[in-house]
Amino acid sequence: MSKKQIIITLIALLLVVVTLIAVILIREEDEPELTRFTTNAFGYFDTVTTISGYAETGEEFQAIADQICAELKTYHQLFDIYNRYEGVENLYKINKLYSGEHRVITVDRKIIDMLLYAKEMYQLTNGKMNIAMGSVLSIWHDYREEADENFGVGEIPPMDALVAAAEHTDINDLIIDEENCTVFLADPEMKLDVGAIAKGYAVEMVAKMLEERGITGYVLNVGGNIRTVGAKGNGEKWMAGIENPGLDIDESYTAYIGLAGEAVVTSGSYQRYFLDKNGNEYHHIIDGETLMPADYFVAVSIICKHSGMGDGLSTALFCMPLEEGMAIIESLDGVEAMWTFEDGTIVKSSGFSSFEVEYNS
Amino acid sequence: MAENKKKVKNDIIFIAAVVLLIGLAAGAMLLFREEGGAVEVKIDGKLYGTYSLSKDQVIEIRSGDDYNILVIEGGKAYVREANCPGADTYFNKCTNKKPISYRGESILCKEHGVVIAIIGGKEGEGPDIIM
Repeated sequence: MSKKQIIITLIALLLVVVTLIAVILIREEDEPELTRFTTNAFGYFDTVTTISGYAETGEEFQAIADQICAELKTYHQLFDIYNRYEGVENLYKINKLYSGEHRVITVDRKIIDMLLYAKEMYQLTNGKMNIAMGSVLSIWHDYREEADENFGVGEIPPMDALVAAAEHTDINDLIIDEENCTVFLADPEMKLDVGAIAKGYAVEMVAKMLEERGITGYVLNVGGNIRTVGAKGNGEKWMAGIENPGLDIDESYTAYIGLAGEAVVTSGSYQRYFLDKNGNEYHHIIDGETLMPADYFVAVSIICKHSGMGDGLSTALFCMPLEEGMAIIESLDGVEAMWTFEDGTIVKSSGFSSFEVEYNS
Repeated sequence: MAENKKKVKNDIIFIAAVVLLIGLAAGAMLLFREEGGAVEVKIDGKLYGTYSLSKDQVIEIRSGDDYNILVIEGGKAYVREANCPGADTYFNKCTNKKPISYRGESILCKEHGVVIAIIGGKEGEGPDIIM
């Protein structure tokens, strides 16, 4: 080989190396520094928990996910009305242990804070979000559980039992002593059911814990109570698709929402229901007035800052006419709603579209 | 001299072709590496198995009397059958869920504590959160 040829070969080799390095570098630049990870967990609030977040490594993400789960577990145990846990002063004490007794019950501070928040929500929703409805809801709960065991087919509770239970649902009989962390039920027949707010409230508390630690780029989804913590790792907003409850309509989603720190909660009749022998559906959101599943809409979605408020509002608005719900939403800053009717009609509050994003499938 | 020049020219063309080929091969390899999603199945948080998305297969996920029949077909995974109560009537049941194929997507069976999730592979272009 001549000298020239050697030089040319060397130059060519150099080109090969440079090309390879360039390919690798371009690829690395394409990839964001942060990767999105997702994990799922059961065991909190009788539902599915999904945590997604951006981190540099899977270990870093898992460490944060573990902290989130630990916090959720704490709130789950505190707000559990059916089970007792060693060393936990939870709602079970009020509902089961001392049920029917006229006594002052000491509970955890976190419970007091949640109950006070629930009382605020009662005022805000014209009494539709009422945690004092436990006696009525526990009857529906039992019938639903029975249907669950029977492949989703069951009976509905007798109306006279529901009416009798509804005598004991006055929120003013829930006496809270903030200073001493105690609860007193002035009506001993009364029961608490925090199902319409506890999940959302707990998610909010956990999200606040992350924010206080400066953690961002996460989204928590506990049974449809969604709370974003900051935007995505790449600075874009999280895009939430609200699933179309009408199975006969082609569109998979009724709306796409962009979120960076907000919560979105949907209450829907399709989420949980059972059938009677004639094939009629009975879902899980009970109207305090009719004592039957509310039948105004098939779904109500709320966007707001506080996931607990979103949870409570979505349940309450599901149980009231459109006009009444719209008046509540329009009176609140930074809170928007979307109602989906049985026939597929959709109504949105005045500022809802400011959260909507384009999506080209 | 003229012949030498021609030789050099030929060499350059040859080497350029080699460079191009290597570049293409490297690119193809890198692209190929991005694929390769898999289906990870966990029961109560414990790994049950990992299955390639690129191979059509039927997996019976069994734990005691509980079972979910997972089907991987054409790069997508779905649950064909499960013996949990209410499996046919509940909107949220695993058998009513759309097939999954993108990284991070999952199908959950709360009754059986089963999580079927896509690991690796491409990230989807759909919504980040489905509710």
